[in-house]
Amino acid sequence: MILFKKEKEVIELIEKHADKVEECVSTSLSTLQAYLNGDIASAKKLARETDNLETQADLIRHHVRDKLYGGAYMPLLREDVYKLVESLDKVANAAEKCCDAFLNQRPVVPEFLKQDFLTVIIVSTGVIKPLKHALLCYLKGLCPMEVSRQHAKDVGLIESKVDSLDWDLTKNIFSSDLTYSHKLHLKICVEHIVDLTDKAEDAADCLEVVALKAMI
Amino acid sequence: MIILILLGAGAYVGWNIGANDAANCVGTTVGCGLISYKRAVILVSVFVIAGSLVDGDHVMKTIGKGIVSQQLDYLAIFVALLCSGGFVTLATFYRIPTSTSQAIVGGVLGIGLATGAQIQYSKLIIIAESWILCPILVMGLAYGLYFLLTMFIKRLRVGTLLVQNALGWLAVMSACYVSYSMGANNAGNAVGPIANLGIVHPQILLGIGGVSIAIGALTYGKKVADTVGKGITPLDIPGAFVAQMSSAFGMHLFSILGIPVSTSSAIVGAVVGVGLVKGAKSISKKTILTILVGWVLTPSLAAVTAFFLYKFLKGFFI
Repeated sequence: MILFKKEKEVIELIEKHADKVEECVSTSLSTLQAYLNGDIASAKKLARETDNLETQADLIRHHVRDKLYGGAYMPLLREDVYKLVESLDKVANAAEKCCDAFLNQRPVVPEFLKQDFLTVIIVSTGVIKPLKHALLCYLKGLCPMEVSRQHAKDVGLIESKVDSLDWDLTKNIFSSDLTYSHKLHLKICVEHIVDLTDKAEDAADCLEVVALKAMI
Repeated sequence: MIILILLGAGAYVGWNIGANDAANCVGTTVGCGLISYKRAVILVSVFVIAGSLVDGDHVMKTIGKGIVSQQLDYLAIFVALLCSGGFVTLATFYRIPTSTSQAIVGGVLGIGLATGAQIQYSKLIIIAESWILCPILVMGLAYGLYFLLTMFIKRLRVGTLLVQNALGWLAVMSACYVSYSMGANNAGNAVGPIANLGIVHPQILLGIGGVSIAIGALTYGKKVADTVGKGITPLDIPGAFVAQMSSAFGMHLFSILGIPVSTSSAIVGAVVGVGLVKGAKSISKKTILTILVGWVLTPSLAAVTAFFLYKFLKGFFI
């Protein structure tokens, strides 16, 4: 159908962008798992892949921006759509920064904290699934708006869980016999992991606002 | 020379209509942020002129010789135009979306009484009834249409974003339809009394009416737009579309019947209809009351002022 061709192209691009962001977050999970398992060579390779995927997501975002401000969608909706894409892009940025922090600063994670770190990383990166579902529901009408909003709420629940895990891990770090500088360094790395979920929650909030505006 | 003065007075009324009523055409679209006011008034201008040229003659005949069937003198026509224009200017200044139709009908009635001309009371009653009927009809239409549209959208399995975009375009197109209907219904108000003389060609008169309304919209229409778009009830995109479509249909229908109705009452009725589906709490009662008071006062004051001003000028100069 010729009607709304530009608009449909934008939706296709946002889908592609969401795929790249998901891939980027999944690769960051593999990167951090490899790092914690001591396989630095694989971790470095995967980190480069994460960087590359983030760049690809950025390029798609630029493409979306050009299409939007080239006339796709009405001005009222245009801004909301771009804010949504931008907020999703920040999740990929957070994933990239997290990998960079580990590979660049090489924090020494003691054996007794490795499982806690892995748990936070797995739960944190798992946030991308409900976020992507919520987005696709909204964009393609694959499910009712209420279901899309429920997926967005699930993102918030995961963020709360990550907050709780962050609390426990921080307590474990600071109650250990490690040096104070070591503790601080590990805490900074934890914050990088947690930031990914925070950014995902921001994107879900943005999506909920856009979805609420469309609800009648 | 006298004809030029009368045409100037007609253009002044037209300018007032544009300034006060352009808001009715685009207030909801601009109010919900679909298009900028600047773009909206350009659309209004184009469609108002089209409406006045294509469908404006029915109302012009009513205002010209429908209420007062005999030919009036130049002074009477001038006073009728001046009084109705003056009241709308005041309403525009105080940001009340008043009715130019009611002002001009009031003005013509006052002049008819002052000159002792035969008044077509049956026609006048039909017009007055239409002022009540039109907003009620439009309200009902808006209520039903909004209800059906929301049901339809909820059942759709297409991306919400695309639906919103499509509705946005429909809202802009419906704003064009309202503008067309306004031109069809209101250009006759501006130049109808001059048509009573039968000197100037009707299409030229309607052209002057349409263009002057467009100039009014372009130069002074923004003030009332805020009241219509946000003051009565905040509208979403489907709401703006339904409100405009219903009011445009109502006005167009009455235009074809040759009855001058209030653009303001039509759009306010439609906005209230949409508001009722969303729940009466979302309707600002204070704004509605202010508008209702304006509706009663406008024709009455226009008639009384026209009556006394004509008597005074006739006694003083002639």
